[in-house]
Amino acid sequence: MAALSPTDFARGARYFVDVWNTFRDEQAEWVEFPLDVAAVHQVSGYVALSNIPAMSATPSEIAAESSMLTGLEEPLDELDEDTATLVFPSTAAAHTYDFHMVYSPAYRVPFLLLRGQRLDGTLLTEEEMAADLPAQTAELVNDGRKWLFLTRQDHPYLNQPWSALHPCETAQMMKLLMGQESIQTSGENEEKTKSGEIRAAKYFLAWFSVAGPVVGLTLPLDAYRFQL
Amino acid sequence: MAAGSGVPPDNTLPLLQFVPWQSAVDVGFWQKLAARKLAELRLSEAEQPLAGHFTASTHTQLSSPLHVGPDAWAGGVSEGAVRGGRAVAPGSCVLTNTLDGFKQADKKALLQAAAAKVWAAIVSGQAERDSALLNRFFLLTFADLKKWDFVYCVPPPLGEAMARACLAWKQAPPPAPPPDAVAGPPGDAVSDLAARLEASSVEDPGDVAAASVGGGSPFFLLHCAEGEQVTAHSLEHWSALQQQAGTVVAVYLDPCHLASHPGWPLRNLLALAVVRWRVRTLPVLALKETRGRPDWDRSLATTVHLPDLPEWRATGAPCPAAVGWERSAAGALGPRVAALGAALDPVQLAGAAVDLNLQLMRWRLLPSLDLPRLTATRCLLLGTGTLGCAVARTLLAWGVRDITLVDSGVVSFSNPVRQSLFTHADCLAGGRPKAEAAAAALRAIFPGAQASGVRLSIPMPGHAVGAREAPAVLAACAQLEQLIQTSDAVFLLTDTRESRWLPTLLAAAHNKLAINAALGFDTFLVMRHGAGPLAAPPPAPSADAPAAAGAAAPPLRLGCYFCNDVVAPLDSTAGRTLDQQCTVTRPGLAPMAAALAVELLVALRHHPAGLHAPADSTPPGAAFPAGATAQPLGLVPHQVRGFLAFFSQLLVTGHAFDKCTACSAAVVREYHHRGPDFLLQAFNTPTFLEDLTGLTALRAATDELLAEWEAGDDSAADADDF
Ligand SMILES: [Zn+2]
Repeated sequence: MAALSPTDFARGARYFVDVWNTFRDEQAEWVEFPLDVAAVHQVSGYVALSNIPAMSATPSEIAAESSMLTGLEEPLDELDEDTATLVFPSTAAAHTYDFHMVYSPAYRVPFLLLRGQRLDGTLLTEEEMAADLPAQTAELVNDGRKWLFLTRQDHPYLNQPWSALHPCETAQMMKLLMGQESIQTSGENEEKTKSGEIRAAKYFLAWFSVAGPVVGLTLPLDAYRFQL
Repeated sequence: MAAGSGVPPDNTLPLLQFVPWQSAVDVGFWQKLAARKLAELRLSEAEQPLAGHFTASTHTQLSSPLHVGPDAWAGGVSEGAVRGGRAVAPGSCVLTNTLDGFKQADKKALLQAAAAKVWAAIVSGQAERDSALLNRFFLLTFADLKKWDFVYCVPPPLGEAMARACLAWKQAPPPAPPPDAVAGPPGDAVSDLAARLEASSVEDPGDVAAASVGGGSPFFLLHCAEGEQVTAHSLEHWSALQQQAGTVVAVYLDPCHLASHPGWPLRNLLALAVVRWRVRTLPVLALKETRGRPDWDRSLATTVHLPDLPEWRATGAPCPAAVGWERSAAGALGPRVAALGAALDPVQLAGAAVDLNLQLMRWRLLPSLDLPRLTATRCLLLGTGTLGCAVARTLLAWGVRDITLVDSGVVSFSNPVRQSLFTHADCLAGGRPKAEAAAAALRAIFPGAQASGVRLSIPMPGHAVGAREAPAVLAACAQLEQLIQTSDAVFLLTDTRESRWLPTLLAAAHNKLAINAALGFDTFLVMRHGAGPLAAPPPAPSADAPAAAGAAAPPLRLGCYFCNDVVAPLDSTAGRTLDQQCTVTRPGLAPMAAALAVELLVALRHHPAGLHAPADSTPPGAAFPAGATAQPLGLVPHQVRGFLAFFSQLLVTGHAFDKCTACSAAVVREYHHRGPDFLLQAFNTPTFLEDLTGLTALRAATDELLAEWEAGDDSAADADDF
């Protein structure tokens, strides 16, 4: 089986967060939101990496202003005569991304949700997000890697529109990645064992090693050496 | 850590410029706003309390915005959101009911009123007890809930410019080196904080504030005592700390990423310092963070020199003129628009989800699936019975949106169980017109459907038309012709043979794709009609085709539903008992035939020759040879005949019959030539069509042959089964 139990998802995610926060000397940190190990049949929380500036360096176009705004400009001189305000090129159009790793009870695999926003909170379109993805991803998609496409998907916890790397091919991919070491759907006793923990961690890292780079998230090689 | 308080103000120093604070209004906020507007606020334009949140700058390239998220309405920030040193900023929102209301709102007055609240909190000392009040923001918005557009502006209103800086705005030194730990009384948050500050340079600034003043305060004081002991305090302890030896530094969570300029929140802190603390210089630490902990390398410390502003300190001094309107993304002053239809509008979401489902099929299995071409197909469904309902639903599933349904009947009590677009309610009060009810059902299933119903009785040969009825009948003919001309595919799904004659003729005359589905009791026929007899033949695949003998002849035109007949369609319902009427069929038959009819359309739309696509037949042997599925969706047959009793299907090809009463050149020419006169003659004179096409003569010849052969088999009647 190339599937992962919700319990192992929580274990794997927690291990991943430790690894990421150890190995990525960055400003960004994955944060766990309730990862409920006990809730086997429930959704099992998620881990989040928030406000990551766009991976691509391309500056975004400012969206065309709606016709609703016609006649709404304020007279500049009246409102902007304050000399103590730094007039500074707006970063409002800069793209930032939130990444969440969630468990898919339907496919029994982890999947990656992402949401691109401008700094002013407006959502990026799928086209804008596709343009921000690493160039390598676009090549792979054109090459027919079926699991790489982004699809609109509601966030299972937040009930908001997000995008996801579609999980339908993940199990197939994990089968290849995990080979003989594939994770069994472990029993209650076995789940408490160290070996179960190691397999969950390995599974999660193996999954991330493929899913992460698609959206420009990578870990150094050292991170894949097991510390358990 | 900072200069002493004796440095005189220096008016030659450059004016300190503050970096505006970007607000980030989250999709979730608008989602909640829409729900509240509908359920609670309705037409109220009263000011609503909000709570935003922010962190100190976490990034070297981007400032941290003031987040206004879904939890803003709860008047607080959810537990998860407080993590990582997030601080709360109180605010309020005014929601105008109309766009005009938004345009005409006196924004300057609103801003000034909001600033006055900050000012009042400063003057009264309240802001020293609850420093979050210094970051109060205001949001003016109009929500267009039909389009899910939100127009808004967010000015964090702040006080008048007053600060003159001195000394370079410079990097903060790391905090005092740790002396021996000083243990405070147990549970003493301040001592606890000090101990932690001393122990390490990686503390959570949220904790710093929380520990010192109890609740994520964005402003607080650090007292650097002589013994290098650092303690954190609420702003209200300023005076008391001045009595002690050492330096007091005012600290604020600075969302600005720049090393050259302070962020916006400092502005109100300085106003407070002028009004309440009456200082001319103020040591300031702009706290930045990395991974939820103070980033001492990026934090900035300076001493700010302040002007003497006696008019501010006067009792009852009015709020200074407010500044702070936020610029739009384009850099202009003015409102912003969040157009969230694609993200929140259920109708748009349904449309996107349907498309996505089909895209998945394309991505995963059928790269050559031409969805734009398919979904743009305008479909005309003649008949909204069991077949019509099932065809319409299958078309929706393929993403087809433009569906016109034609029927003359009303929904009767026996219909809903077989006809999947109707319910019992449609049968009441005499029954809704079927076409209209079916179209409404399609739109209810999928609001993106452009479904319309036309109540129309299709004129039929053999159903005599009197002189009085003639104008209405001819008007119906013209309407049907117009519907066919504006369609890309016509589905013939009526329950009699003769009602298919006129649409067959019209589709042939206008060279439109016609797909026919007909039911027997346990047999069905699904077929596509060939191209019109007068249509230009498809371009030959190669010019030198005659080289090969026989096989290279141009493909024959495919036949229509009537091509197999040697009798003209006549009134088939007259004189039949109920069980002979073709509506008596096994219930599973119609969905099968309807599904095949739609799949035939889909296959044909993907064939490069379109209407002229030659008919594929079942390849010999069980396995499909590679060449047989050259088209993306496999074979494109001419006819599929189904035999439910045997659970089997047969692919049949039938070429056009040059004496066909519906699609032959003679009939189509005559129709083009004489139009209404021709039609009336066809409706009224039973033998007219047979005479016209030469069927009468042919049958006479055949009868002679048959009489000679005395053959007993009755093959000519077979076609009538359908
Ligand atoms: Zn014909």
